[in-house]
Amino acid sequence: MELLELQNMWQEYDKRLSENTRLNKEILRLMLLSKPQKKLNWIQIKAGLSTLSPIVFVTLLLVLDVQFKISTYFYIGLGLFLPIYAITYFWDIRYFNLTRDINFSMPVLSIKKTIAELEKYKIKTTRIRYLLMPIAIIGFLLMIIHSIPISFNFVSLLPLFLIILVFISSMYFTFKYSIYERFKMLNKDIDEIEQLEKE
Amino acid sequence: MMTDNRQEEQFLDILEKNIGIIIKIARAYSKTVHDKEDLINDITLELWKSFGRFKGDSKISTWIYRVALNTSMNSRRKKEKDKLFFLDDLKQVESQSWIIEQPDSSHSEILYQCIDELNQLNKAIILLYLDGNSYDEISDITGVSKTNVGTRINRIKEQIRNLATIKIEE
Repeated sequence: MELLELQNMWQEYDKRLSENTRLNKEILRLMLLSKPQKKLNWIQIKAGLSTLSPIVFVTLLLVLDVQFKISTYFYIGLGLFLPIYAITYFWDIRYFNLTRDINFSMPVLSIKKTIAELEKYKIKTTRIRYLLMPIAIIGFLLMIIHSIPISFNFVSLLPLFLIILVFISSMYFTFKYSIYERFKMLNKDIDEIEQLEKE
Repeated sequence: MMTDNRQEEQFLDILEKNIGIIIKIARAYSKTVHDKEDLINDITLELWKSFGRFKGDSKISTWIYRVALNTSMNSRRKKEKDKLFFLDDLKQVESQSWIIEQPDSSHSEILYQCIDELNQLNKAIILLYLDGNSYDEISDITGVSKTNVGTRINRIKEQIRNLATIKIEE
């Protein structure tokens, strides 16, 4: 089959479509006005949700009735936890602002590149977040534990050992396969896009 | 300053005149009729969202193509179905099944099947080409350089020609 035939078919289809399509303007008007939440795309919704983390965090503290006791441990814990939480929250806000800059009226490749770069940013911050998380967890525990009971028996060390093991394995698999591979793919995509943009 | 009502009217007129572009793109980037309807809703909402920012520095069709393609390429299909706001014409709904059944219009279905085999960017390029856009316009809409558009179109043509021959023989 020759391409010209296909083009003719397309033109016929296009003509039929124009003749047979009509809009119900009233229902359309209602949809445009009554569904503002649908005006956000999924990337922005995801990014927006992560900026709500302080509310979730405070609610959890209130629901679980977590008691803080002002002591040296509390201040050490606060010193470890607060800067990390503040930095990661700042990344979330920045990511959210970047997603708001996405404008679908831009050329297709520009959007592809922006989204790939956004994903790279997200992966990079996730990677650092993973590395900082143990310190933040220790900081938070120091804030809520009033004294550290040191006992080296099997029963108290086993849960701690299991937690560390799970955490290390999760970090290992995330970095070795998923994040690294995705990062490589994104860099490749960005290179290809830049190549396509050049003459 | 344009009033809200006037803006709405203007938007609806533009949409009415260009609904064909949206339907064709949505169909190319969807697997099912429901997906297509959802995608048409998403594209329309994205167009409405960016309409206020549209300053007329490009052709209206360029703006519609860009928004429609970007939304289609970056949209995740939802399970929840929106209300059908357009009558992709009673005839059109019928004609979709009619296209499949009638020998003379089954060809557009074949064409869509061939297009579906292409990657997202090539799909966009060939849709723009079939709609009669020039290399300059395709380059402007996609951001692919004019030289690369030409090279790609030649490759896609060959690919579609082969695929169409196979599909027709099947």
